[in-house]
Amino acid sequence: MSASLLIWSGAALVSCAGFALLAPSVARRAPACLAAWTLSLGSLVLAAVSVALPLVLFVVLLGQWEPVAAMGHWSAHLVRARVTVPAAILALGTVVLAGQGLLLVQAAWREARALSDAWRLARRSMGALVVLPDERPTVFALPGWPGRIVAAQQLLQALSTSEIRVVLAHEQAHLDGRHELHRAAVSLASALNPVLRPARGAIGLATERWADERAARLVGDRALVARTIGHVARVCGREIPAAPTMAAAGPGEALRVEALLRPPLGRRTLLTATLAVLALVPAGAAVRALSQTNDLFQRAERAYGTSAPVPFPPTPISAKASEHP
Amino acid sequence: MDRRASGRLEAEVLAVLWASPEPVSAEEVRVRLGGGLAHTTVSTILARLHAKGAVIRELVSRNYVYRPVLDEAGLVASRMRALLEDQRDRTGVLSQFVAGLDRRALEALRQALEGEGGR
Repeated sequence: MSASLLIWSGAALVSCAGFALLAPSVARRAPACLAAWTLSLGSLVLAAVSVALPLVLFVVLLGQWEPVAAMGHWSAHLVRARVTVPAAILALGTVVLAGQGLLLVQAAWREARALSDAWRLARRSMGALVVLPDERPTVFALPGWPGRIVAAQQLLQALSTSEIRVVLAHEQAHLDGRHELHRAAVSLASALNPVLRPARGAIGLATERWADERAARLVGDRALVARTIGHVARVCGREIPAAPTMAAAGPGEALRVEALLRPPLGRRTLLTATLAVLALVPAGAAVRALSQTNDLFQRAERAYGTSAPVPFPPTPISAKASEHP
Repeated sequence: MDRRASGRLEAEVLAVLWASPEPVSAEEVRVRLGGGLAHTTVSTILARLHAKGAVIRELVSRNYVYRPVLDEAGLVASRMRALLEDQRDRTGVLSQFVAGLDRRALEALRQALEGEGGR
């Protein structure tokens, strides 16, 4: 329990940064389904690591505190002797952990509310398709059991039947694949560790591409899917004013079209494997740190009796009086 | 036909009905859907939608024509829009087919489509 913990914490942060850096190109170039799973599971693992390391710092700080040690029957003295990490760093870890706790509660509340809103609305519709008669052109998947597809009548009127089939197949793919859970997972992970934030845009692109691929397989025409994206963008784009946040999301459609029209890039195994390794190596370090902490406290429990002799039977008041006769 | 395929067809039939300005017959729906669907398949879907109350039908010169009905979920459309708008930046639970393009992205899109003879 020493400087190696700090080195691993630093390495984990570097891993998170590398993961975030590579995430967009995996979302663009790896097979979409593989990219989505790697991004969502990898983000969750890295988020767990990001909590585990501050947690260890907090626990060994707490373990040095006499009243807590007495309650848990371990030797605070031994914990102090074994932990060489400066107290300031331990305190910093504690502050980080507290901040993460707050962020997690906030993000979990936000995601859960968004999902339950969607589920409630989905329950109120009769058919597989909910049409909005007086709305600006839009189409989206409303997750639920079963999920529904929501489309504005204006958009349906602007599209040909084969384009409608593409749009419906795309949205149905979101619902069948439970893509909202992948997105929620990355959203939660990036709330716990802001370094992971770029993965949010990446999981968005990966799930859109995933749905595009499913739609393309269903209609058997990749160029049709690409044209439909372009057509829907034009129909919707005229109506939706360009706001700064949307400008950031904008190139997504161009990337999807590019991915549909280019020749297949192969599985991009190296790229995806790098992403997986970036998530798994810090996870190994975190597991090691947790087990070292466990060992430390077991040792401290064994040392409890020896370093702080307790009179037997423990009769505190009279014992004190008879200690120095 | 498995449940998933029939759900998809149901959505397609509803989309065709909503896209059309006039009530349409089962035969017209079949023609617009294309893809060599049997007349009975389309009729069955329309009958099921009628039973659910998702469409109404009327007799016009001895033929049924169908019109979609706004359901309860459609009536709370404004809430859906609000949900979507609320979501756009803060969480990713809902995914829009297109997120709204800026001029630069539209241009890139147009270029990508040019080689494909986009409309």
